[in-house]
Amino acid sequence: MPSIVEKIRVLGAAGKYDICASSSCYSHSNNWSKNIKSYSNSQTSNRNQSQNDNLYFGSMLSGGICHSFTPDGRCVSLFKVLFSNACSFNCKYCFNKINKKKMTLTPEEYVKAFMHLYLGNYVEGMFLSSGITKNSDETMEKMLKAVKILRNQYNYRGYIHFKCLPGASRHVIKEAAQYVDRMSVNVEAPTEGYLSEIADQKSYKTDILRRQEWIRDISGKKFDDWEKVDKIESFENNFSEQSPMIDEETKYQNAKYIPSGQTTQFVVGAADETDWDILKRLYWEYKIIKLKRGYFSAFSPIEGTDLENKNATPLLREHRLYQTDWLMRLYKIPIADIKGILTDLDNLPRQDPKIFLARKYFDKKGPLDLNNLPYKEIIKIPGIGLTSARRIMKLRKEGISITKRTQLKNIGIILKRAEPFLKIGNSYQANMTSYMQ
Amino acid sequence: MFNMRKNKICFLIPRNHEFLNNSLEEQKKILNELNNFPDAVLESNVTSNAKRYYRMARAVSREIHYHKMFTRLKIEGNSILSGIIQPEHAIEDIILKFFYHRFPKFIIILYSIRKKKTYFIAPIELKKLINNPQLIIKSEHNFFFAKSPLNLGTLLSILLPLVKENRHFKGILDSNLDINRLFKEFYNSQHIDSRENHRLFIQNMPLKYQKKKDLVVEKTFRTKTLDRFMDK
Repeated sequence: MPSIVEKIRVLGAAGKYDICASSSCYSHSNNWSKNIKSYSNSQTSNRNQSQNDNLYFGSMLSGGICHSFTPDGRCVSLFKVLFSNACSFNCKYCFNKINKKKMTLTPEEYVKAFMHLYLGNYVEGMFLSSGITKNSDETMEKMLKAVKILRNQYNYRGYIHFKCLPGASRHVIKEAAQYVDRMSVNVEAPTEGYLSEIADQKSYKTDILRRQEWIRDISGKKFDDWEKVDKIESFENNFSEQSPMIDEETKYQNAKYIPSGQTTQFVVGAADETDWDILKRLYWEYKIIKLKRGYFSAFSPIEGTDLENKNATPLLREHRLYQTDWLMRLYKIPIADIKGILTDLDNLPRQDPKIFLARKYFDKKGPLDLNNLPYKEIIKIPGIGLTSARRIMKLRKEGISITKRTQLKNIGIILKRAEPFLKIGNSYQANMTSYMQ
Repeated sequence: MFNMRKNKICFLIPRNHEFLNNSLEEQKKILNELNNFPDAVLESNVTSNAKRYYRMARAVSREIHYHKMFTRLKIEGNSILSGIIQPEHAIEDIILKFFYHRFPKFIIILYSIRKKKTYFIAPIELKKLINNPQLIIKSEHNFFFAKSPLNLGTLLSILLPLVKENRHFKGILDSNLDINRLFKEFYNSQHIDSRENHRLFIQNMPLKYQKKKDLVVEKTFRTKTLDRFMDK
């Protein structure tokens, strides 16, 4: 019988290709951090806390914590281990297909391993996924058992990312939504045609998109009837005789389903899709599914799978997709503008897409004066991010003008990228056309 | 890019070791200057003075963040979490509060290698049970901080008998699971050969923390040692 450590070794290796694993933090009242909010309030209001504030463990208030880095520079923040690597599906890109050692963790083993690492400050939260053993519902119910043990028995208030398996039933998804912070369903490919090339057992519309729509419908909604919530009964079992009863009506006030929303992942390059195919689907996901963010995993051929002879996707392609995703999501660049900078083959250019966009926007306008530009135009300049743009606006509000290069450098602007577009004081970078005139 | 508001900069600078090395008069002068700085100038570090102060605050903030990331804790008797820290700046109380906030059922003890002192945070009920003049105690709401010249082992031997075992975690934390081995196996399982990127690793993991005593696992990648890794 393999030990927990042996199972973690095998199942951790099986789960490593699922990239969409970064933690999220939020400070408003919700299912898990109600006690945390009253704790942070007490520091300023000097009121006594109730004894119930120390009945939990774990929190999510600090974001962006990486407890380690792998040799490929990726952050290790979540406990990313499959529940089981035995899978009835036959996806052509999947590592589990060739793995002969089939193992499954029990919910108790999973919780034990996670708690040891969490209390040791080795991980920031849990990322729970699995191969589909018999069917999606049965597998998800076993995964959910581990989550319920953590939330109900040990009163864990930290981050849980729960993978929704393709084809899972609505009632299972809704039950899981009560306990987790984020859910995701991997789309893997931008269209049904491309998905059928790499995973023909999954139906794109019913198994994947429909599940995303269900998660969207539940996500962010408040618990309308807390009597139906399972965790109330098991919460009462945790009370000792000495500790007072928690006021149940206020306990779940503002509690929400899946407060951190949903994400998804694309496998880039496995099915010969173009970048434009991926970006169109991503845009649809943000607009219709209300996705929090998308992730991209560059295809890497695994020996023994059907796609072992296919070329690996360059990591640069993945990087450009992430850059474009940020431009769409945070900089609010319209998708039509991004279409305008694609190559003839409908792929992103090899260089930074922001530079191509900036040339398109500002070519005819000439050198730009940062003291007069609106915020939405400033963020389009390469080398100027959202924070630098906000600093410029704040200085402008105080009546301070930007007239020197050193000011821009101090603010945090990357001058090498920004200077070709800017007029600083009375000087600007000349180009060949103006020199010839 | 990370952005700090003026109140946070003013909170962090008094903890910077450069600031603390100045005389009291110099410290008052710096604090007066900070208070008189316009918010926008200090927060955007547009002048060289503002940049200097921003950097001082940023150094403290960065160290707090890295300690949250890399301080490893040992579970003692199901009720105490102990660890070793090496901060340059005066941030022990912030780190302690962070861990207590996260694990309020536990007493958190951190030994500072640089200052050769042990700091711990515990629920207010324990204060009455401790009768040791070497422990300097500062109470705050329903918990208290303490500072002691005693080393980690001695302090553990004083506190362990006083603390009730966390019945809540009985059974799950009693097991003989070797955390170091568990993390080593988990950490090694996350590596993807085709994505190996030495430059990005070194950029993300500062040299200071690569040399840290506790981070033994991260120093070896498969068969390579960190020194060979760094040579590439």
